[in-house]
Amino acid sequence: MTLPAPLDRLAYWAVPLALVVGVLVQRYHVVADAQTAWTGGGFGMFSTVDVPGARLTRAYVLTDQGPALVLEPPYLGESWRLVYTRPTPERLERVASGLATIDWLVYNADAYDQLLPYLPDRFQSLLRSVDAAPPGGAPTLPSRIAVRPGRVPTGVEPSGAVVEGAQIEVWRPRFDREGGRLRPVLLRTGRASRLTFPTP
Amino acid sequence: MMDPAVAAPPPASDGGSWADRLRQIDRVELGLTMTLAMIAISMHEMTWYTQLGVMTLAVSALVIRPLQWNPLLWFGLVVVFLVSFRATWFQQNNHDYLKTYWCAAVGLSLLAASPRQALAWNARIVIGLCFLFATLWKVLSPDFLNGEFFHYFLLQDTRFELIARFLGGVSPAELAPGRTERVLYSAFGDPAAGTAVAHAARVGWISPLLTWWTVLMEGLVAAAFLSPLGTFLSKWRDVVMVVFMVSTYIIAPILFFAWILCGMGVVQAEPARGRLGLVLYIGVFVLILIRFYVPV
Repeated sequence: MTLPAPLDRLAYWAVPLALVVGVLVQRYHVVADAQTAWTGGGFGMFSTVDVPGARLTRAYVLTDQGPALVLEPPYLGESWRLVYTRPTPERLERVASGLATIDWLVYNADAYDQLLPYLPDRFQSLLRSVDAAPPGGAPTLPSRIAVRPGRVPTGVEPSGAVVEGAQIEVWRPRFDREGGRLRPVLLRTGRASRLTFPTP
Repeated sequence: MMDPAVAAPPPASDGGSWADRLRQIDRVELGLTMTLAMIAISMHEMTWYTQLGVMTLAVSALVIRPLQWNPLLWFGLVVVFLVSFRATWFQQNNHDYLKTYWCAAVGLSLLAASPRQALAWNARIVIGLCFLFATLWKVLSPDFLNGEFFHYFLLQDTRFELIARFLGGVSPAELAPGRTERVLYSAFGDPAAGTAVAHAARVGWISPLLTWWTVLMEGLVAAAFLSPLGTFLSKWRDVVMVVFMVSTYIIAPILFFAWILCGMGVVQAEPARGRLGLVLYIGVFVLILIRFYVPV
């Protein structure tokens, strides 16, 4: 089984051409859609600190009292998992819309101590590191958090904030070599309003 | 000019020295076997049905060797890879792309009038292009040439820990707090405030060294593999590639990418250097395997 003579060149040029086209497509998405250079067939691995796994995805519930950090974002389909690699506006909006339609309880920082045993392990570690930090060296804590009903005890009163929507942010890593700090920069943001229905 | 790598292997003879036995190796068959072995063990993040497809095809061809010469086998692998990556193509690692391109190249080459010539050509050009783009993006990246990339990776990425410890003089105890802090803050802290990364003075001079070494070697590999056959650079391409692989993948063991490069390298190895290229690629194949699995 061989290719007819006029198509023989295909065996030599098809794959190199496909590779070049693949690279160009990936570069387009790097520039236009904030796709990370590490993945997607552009051969840009090890060219930047913008590693997909080092990108941060933050979800906030927007309330009338200000944004509340979502501690445990629920699974909202593939978009949630993929949003940090190529945060297109459509994908960000889809995730934000998903978050905006869910019921949330919002708590202010003064309730953190009471909630402590019920919060995710990593958030507990962060709260403890704040207590142990020297004066001035403590990290900034979110001023309010949003959790799903049923994740926290009923005895702790939520702040009463009204949920108005949701926001999702993707941050890319940036290394400040002189200062010896990793200082992420905000890459993309997506917002969605909570749908409200008029009361009859 | 005619690629000397396309010559069919000499007829097998009984016994003889190691050099004779080495001469009898069919480099194309060896390269394809190495490729299939890599494919059979690099199936992470694939669905069960694509894993089943890849395993069936790859293992069949490893056991029934004539299947390696059937283009349908390689096109079958391409189809399974495309099905597997269809929804997450922008999230796939480069070695997934490289192995897909290479399988397609093997399938098409086996349909050519001179399959060995087409295989050697594709292996050379695909390696050359891959390194050309890798070099280009590093040169264009705002945080690579200024040394930021290696400085940060030496201190934060576990794959670079070996060199950070032995050349940078950083202890695991110094590296750990920065990593833990990054995980915590990245989840819940204020991202804009940033997180501290371990400090090591010696890393400051190692990172520019690694930066320029990487650009130089990757650029050299691209130039050597894309140079016309018979030129000085082209004749030394296997040595350049092996120097790159040893200096890179011993520091940061990236097994699958290195292995697929070895498989492609063997297929197109330059016979003008005797069997040196073949020996080097096989040696690197084993060396990287040891580096990957043996804890340092």
